[in-house]
Amino acid sequence: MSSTANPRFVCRVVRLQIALSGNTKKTTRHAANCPDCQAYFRASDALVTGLSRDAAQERQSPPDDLAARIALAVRQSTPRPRHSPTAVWRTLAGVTAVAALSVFLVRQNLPIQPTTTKNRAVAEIHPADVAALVANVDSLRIRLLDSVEPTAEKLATQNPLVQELNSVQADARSALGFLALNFLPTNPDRQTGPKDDSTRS
Amino acid sequence: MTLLPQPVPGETLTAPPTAPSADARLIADCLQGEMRAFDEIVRLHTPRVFNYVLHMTRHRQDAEDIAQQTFIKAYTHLASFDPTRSLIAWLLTIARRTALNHFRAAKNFEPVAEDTAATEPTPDHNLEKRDQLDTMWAQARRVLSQREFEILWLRYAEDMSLEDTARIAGITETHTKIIAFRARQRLMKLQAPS
Repeated sequence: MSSTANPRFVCRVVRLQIALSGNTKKTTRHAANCPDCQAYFRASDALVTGLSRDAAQERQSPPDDLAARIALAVRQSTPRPRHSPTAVWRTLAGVTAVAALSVFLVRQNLPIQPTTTKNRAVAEIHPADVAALVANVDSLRIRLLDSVEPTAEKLATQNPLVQELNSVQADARSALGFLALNFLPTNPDRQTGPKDDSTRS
Repeated sequence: MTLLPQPVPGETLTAPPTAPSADARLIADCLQGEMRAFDEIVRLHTPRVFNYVLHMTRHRQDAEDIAQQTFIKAYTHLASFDPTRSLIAWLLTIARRTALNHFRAAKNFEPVAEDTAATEPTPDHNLEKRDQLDTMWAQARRVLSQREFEILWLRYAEDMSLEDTARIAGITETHTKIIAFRARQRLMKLQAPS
């Protein structure tokens, strides 16, 4: 089979193309008219058949007690299948992103050091809005945790990731509270009152 | 009379991404806390996992240890298994990674010479005996690289789809085809009469 040992370039291309992409019109036409390629594909088929046939001889039996040992080791090593840690990380990342977005949006809407009465921005966010935002973050966290594991609340007290999540949430809440306390007017009338008087006088 | 090239079995076809219903049922039972279901999975798939690892390591004791670690990892992460995929392909993927980690930890990635079970003859004797039998796989082991042998084993001994083979080996399907093509050519050259 000298042709197999040293095939023509076109034959090599056709064989590679068939191996990668299967039969096409061109490759089929070539193979149908090329005795070398026909011999090659015959040998290839025989090889694959032989490999499949000989695989049974090549397999070795595992020790009789291996499956039992593995089953025992599985029972001893882990209490029960656990949910993917990526789900917990996704939850954590989601809640963190929501908290960061909330802080960002609140800061975007805050007035920046108003100097005159004219350009003083009118605050549109009230403490009630902040409280609602925090409540939304809470409910989102609970919903995400529930989607991961029905007993998430139970696990929350034990899981270090959830503890971290709670601390991030607490930080976000205190940041929002701080911003609300310092930058949001509690009573707009009282703040604008004296300046109006001075302007008048 | 002309002979049209027959596609290499399964080369351009991919198996439907459906786990056998028995496996799917066992996994569902296992996730419900039914430990016997996982025992059944272990019983069904241990021979294939063991043989695959054995061909990677060529060491029975290592193969047994790695097979055990494979099933422990599989059990731990069973909830993350995609039930639309083949369970054995998933197990072999875990087995391969576990074996690679095992060798990295041992700083000895090259597989050892041959089976070193205490009850069997010496490795040299085993190798000689195996070569005398001279199955195609024995020839393949002599002339192919570890990766080429592994790809051929998955494709033609384990009868894995191209997609699953690529997934287990951690390479692309095209790369898998190329490796299989080259490996077949080398074996054919070996078998061709001089």
